[in-house]
Amino acid sequence: MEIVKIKVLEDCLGGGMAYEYLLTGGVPEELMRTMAVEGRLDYHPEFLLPFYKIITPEGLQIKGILGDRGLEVVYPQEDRDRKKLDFEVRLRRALEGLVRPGGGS
Amino acid sequence: MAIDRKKIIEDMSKVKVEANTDGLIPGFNVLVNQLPAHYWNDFSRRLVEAVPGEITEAVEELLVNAAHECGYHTGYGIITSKEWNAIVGPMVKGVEDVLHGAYAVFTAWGWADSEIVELVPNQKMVVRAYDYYEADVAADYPGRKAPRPMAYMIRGVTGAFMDLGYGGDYDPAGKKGLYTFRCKQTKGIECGDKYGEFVAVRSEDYEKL
Repeated sequence: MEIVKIKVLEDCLGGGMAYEYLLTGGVPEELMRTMAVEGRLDYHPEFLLPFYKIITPEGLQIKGILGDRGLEVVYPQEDRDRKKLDFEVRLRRALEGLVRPGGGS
Repeated sequence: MAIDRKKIIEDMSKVKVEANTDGLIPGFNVLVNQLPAHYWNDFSRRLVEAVPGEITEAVEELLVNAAHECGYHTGYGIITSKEWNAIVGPMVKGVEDVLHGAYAVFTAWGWADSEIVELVPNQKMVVRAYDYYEADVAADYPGRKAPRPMAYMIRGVTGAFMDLGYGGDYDPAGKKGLYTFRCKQTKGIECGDKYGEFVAVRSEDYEKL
């Protein structure tokens, strides 16, 4: 799976704080748990659609719906560019590492 | 699927809203705040009372406008949020469902225990609020009764929600779509009524209320 598009979300947060990452496929549970490693995961499978929110040690807030192609990330102001770059590198790695049914990746 | 208000309130109440490492609370594509109700009530009351009587209404309108603009952008943020999509989205079949769902969220977040009691699509909406923080302003008046309705936030937001429902496409600049509706508060707990009542109509019909 890959990132197809990174979109700045229109907001009144001061610009460039919130982004939507659109992937080629829906976010699987494995990716959600990988993104939440070392962070805090609030996962609500009891909602009509399974919702997750992750708070990372760097202060990123990641949220979305399992199976949905989009995930939203709100970055803190401090050191935002580096944190954004780091997250995108980690996300790409995680996407490359996803195991597909049948053993491929 | 019809709007299940109880489930929306139950589920939305589970979503944690908290400050990030900057000390800010990003939510629904805006920055929200969490301050004592008394702070905002005092802010409004002091503004209204600080001016001569002949411009009291104008100051009140400014407070309503602030809530109207905030409600327009925050409301749009709510109905396009991941939380909304997960909790309310699958129940929504049309604009009216969006409005009913929005008041369930409004209730869940503690802004006002409120619901729509009458909705004429594209024309009129009547909302009742059975408990809301702005009613607490009554405590600052003799006999614990405010001299007039003072729920400026609910008034503004109710107009804004109708704008989002029937005012055309959302405009981030707020130049189109905003103020196609206006809202009047006809009852208030702060005035001694059992509930607050808010009537939103098309702006051109507002003076007839």
